[in-house]
Amino acid sequence: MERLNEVSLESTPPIFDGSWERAHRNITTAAFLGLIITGVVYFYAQAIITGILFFLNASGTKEIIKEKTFFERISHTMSVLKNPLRYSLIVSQFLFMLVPIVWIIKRWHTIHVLSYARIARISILELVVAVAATVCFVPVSGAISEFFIRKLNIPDFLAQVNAQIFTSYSTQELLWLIVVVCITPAVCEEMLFRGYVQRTLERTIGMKSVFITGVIFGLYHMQPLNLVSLSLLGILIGYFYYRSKSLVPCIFAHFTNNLLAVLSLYKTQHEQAVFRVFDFEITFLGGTVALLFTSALIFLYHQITKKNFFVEQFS
Amino acid sequence: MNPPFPPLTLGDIFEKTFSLIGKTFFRNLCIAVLILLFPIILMAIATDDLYSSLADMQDSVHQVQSAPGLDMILPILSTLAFFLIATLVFALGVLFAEIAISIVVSQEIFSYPITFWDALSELFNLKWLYGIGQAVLKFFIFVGGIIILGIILAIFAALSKLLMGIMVVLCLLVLIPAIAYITLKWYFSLTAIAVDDLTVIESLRASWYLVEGYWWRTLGILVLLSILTQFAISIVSLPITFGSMWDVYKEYFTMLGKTGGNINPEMLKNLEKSFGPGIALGSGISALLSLLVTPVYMVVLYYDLQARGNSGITSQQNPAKIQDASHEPIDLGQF
Repeated sequence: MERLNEVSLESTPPIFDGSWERAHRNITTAAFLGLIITGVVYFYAQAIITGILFFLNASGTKEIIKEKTFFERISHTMSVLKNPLRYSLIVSQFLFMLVPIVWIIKRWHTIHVLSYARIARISILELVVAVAATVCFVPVSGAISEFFIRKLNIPDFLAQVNAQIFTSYSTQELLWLIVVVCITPAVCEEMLFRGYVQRTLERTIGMKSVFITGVIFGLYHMQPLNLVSLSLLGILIGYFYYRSKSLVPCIFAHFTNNLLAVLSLYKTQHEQAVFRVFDFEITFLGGTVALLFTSALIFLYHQITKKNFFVEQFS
Repeated sequence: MNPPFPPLTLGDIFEKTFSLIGKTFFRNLCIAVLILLFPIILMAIATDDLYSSLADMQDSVHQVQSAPGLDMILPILSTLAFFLIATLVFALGVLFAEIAISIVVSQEIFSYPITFWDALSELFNLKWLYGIGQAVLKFFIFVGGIIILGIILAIFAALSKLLMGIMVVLCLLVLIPAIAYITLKWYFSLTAIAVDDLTVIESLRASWYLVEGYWWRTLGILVLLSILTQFAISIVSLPITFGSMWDVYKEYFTMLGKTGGNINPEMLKNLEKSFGPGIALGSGISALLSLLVTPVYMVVLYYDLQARGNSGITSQQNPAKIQDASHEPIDLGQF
């Protein structure tokens, strides 16, 4: 009987000369430990930075709070917090997520960080299909999140207050948000989750690393209602990483996902959404159709990335 | 006696801990679930009762518009007593599970696996009693110390208020570091009971000598490990806790939607009644997750400290452990 087994081709495997590698320590431990250390540094630093910025912002503006209802108060707090949160996000993602993970790769594994994280060129077709699959997946993840939001009876006004940090009212603000919410997480989070955690886990558990890292990606966002949709997005991006052997499609896919969210919340002067992708009325049917398209594109991606694997035959 | 385990670097400690968590995960989970299932249910019932009683009392006070009478306080006291009993049962459950898991890990570390049934039978062979004993003794020593200090302060207060003020400041300056010092010195007493079969006094003495000379190192590692562990646990337990409070959140958001963002205090009071089970379930699950990690690194640190020469008082070592330890390749590379 003939059995087929796909074995990945690493074009230029890095030299593992870091301290963890030299000591022949457990690689899976390194993946989880690196993830937890970075997580602790990132979350604590972000909390401290947000607190400081919030304090500076609040002490600078001595306006009288006229709001009376709970909604008005929370809306006011969010408008005060909006900018500190945006600044703290960009600072903490680069300084306390990207820098520690690069340091960990350098110290524990190899000095060839880019090679380890697989920052490698890929074909335009691979990139286009990855982005297209992400675009198709957006309504699916929207429908899943919407399902939980509706189940929990979260009022629309509260969801809108929550989305305030991602809402822009001018082109200038939109561009700033693209830098903060789209480019920054796409680079930093992808470097952590795919470039380090999945890459390291892949060395010991192969394909399973896609699912494990995907779920961890969902958990790390600390949004219980979006856990399922974020985990699925993580698995999708992880799959691109596993098949392409490059971080580039992952960065583009993550960027696309966040860009659609930001664009959907870009409002005109008349409070009208310009681009309604994350409409709160995403139907089950729409989600199903989008899922079919996503599946077809994943299949296509699988086909066009076959060159990264060779087929080993066993008899 | 030669140490059965070579001293470990920080990297070794992390690696050993992670590897042991993986190897003992299902057995430890079985132990934690078996021991904590009943206490968690009891806690859920007690917390539910407590929150309901508190809300009822608030209602009664609001209706009568006067201070709560004995007829209002008595039911609260009885539910409070029930809650305290449930908390005690839960704490005992955590203590027992910690001992049993430490037994599993202490055998696994020398590649000598035992089943969770064996660990449980070993737990209920006096070790549970010693575990309670050391906890009670520690409690009375700390509480006793505080009472004695209180008496001294009262004497000084009777003499002069200024003198008492100085004494309070001095006591705080001395007391807090002293408590921290002693707490860490006795931190491994439960592990000593589980791993080395020591009695109550022996375990406290063993733990005291074990940390001798490594107090700051042990503190640093413990703080680091607990920060990392708590972070990992909070990430995993957040959706579980959220799920256990689903009905409460749903009711809250429904209420918020109906009132357009205005929360009526009366409505909140009703909501408070349903808080209990969710909170108890959430904290129970967090404790359960913590049990899968904390005893593991405690055992690893215990052996590391023993290997550093401060073996303290140990009873007869398991020959199988010593024999297997000599074959265990421990990597001492740089972290």
